[in-house]
Amino acid sequence: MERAANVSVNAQMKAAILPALALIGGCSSGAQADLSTIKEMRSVAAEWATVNREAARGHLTTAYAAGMRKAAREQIAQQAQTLTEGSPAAPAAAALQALPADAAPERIARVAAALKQIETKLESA
Amino acid sequence: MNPLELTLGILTAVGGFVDISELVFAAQAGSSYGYALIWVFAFATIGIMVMGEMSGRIAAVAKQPVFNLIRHRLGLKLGLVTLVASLISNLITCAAEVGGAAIVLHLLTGAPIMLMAVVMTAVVIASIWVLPFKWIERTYGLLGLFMIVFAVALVKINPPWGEIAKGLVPQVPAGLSTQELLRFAYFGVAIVSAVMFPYEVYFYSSGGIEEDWGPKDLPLNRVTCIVGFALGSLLAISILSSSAQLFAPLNMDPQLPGSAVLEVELPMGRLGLLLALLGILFAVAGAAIETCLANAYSVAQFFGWEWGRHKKPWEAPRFTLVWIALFLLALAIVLTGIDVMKLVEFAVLFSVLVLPLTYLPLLLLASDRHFMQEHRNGVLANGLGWFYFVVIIVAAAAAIPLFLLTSGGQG
Repeated sequence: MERAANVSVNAQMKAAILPALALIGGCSSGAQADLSTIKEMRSVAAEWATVNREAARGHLTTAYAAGMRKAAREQIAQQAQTLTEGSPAAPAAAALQALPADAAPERIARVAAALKQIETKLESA
Repeated sequence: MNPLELTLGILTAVGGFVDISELVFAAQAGSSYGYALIWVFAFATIGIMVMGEMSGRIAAVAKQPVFNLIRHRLGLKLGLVTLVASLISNLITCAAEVGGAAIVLHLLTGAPIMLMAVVMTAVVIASIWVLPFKWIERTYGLLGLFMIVFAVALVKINPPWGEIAKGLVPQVPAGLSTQELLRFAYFGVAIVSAVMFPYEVYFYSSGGIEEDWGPKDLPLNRVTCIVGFALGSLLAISILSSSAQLFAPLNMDPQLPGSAVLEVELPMGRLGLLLALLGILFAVAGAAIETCLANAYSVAQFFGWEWGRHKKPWEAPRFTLVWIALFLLALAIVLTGIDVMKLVEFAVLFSVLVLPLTYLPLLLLASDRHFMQEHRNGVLANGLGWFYFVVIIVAAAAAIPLFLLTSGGQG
């Protein structure tokens, strides 16, 4: 059952990330306005991935891992709400929100990398 | 100089140097710009050494609290403006420290952050009520020495020491876009503000009077400021350098208050994580006490009330009421649920605006022949003091435009 849920989330992530990458090429001024939010979200996702990687190695306390995961997910939810309509980062934000707190770090890092690509594209636009 | 007093003074200054703002901005500066902002930490540290030494010297020689002298020197109106601005700045800073300490307690125990904020406030109020001044300062300062684990972690990851040393040379990284240059400048201003927070000189000089300093204590004051602040600054530079080395490759510009401890956990594992959390907890709780007492000192000194922790709480009732009320106000700000990282940004922004008002009276008083006699500023202290005063005026003028143009340092 857990595996089925993971497969479903993977499919959701692909569905979310691919349009995000496709949108990288066509940025609006609204997307530019999202830049600082995208940077924050990319960093929070990277922090979340690091926490989960270290937790998997058994290097974190339960309280620390739980507290950091909760803070990361709350912050991502807040940041997603501030994105403008049609933001290229919206699909990635949705993908991050769909992930469970203890998601595999590679999965979170993939979305963070997608956000980094959007960020780089917007900065060079 | 009593060697034990000197050692404890220096260690207390080291343990109390890093607060929540320095922690946040050092970690973000390192991940964003590598070692290129180390020189700003070094530069601002020399500034706080100069101003801190002056404030301690005024306390030891003039035997009068800074805000009492400010009122006489600047007049009632400008003195009142300085008082109100300092109160607001220190209150926001105190709330940021209380919120930061609550988050660390939450990460240590798993208990809700709001509950931990209440517990934290109760503990610091009890500490101030029960402990004599010297032991308040020493307990939190010495326990804050757990922060040394950040320097140990840096040594353990064996960073490129030559590159870190090059960071001490004033520089602006090549190839930055206009927006990135503005953000770099914003970080520079924020670091100057975080290192030279106004509360530090109010607390330090009032502490000198609490401990009944006299001219014989001037060497102790000088050595504590120079050596203690220099070593404390090395901790902040360690945090920046580890962030450059560990977080930048992971695309992390720490946005979560608890992320900085990963700098220690990554090379040192679970023990490192716990030591780093404890170090931050005591350093930040100590800073909360300093900001709150600095405010109470300022108010009581300005209005000429009885003040000081060398008296029993009921012997200086208005002073006692002020510091308790300020702690409760700071707690109320935290309980609104405002993001602690935002509080840190506001604290740094507001403090840099207050810095000129804080340091101008110090400079005037420290070079005043009537008050200071043969202990007034020499050529070096005067030159450095006025140089830093010009720098903080420029920083204060640039702070709000930079904050707005960079969305609070985000982009």
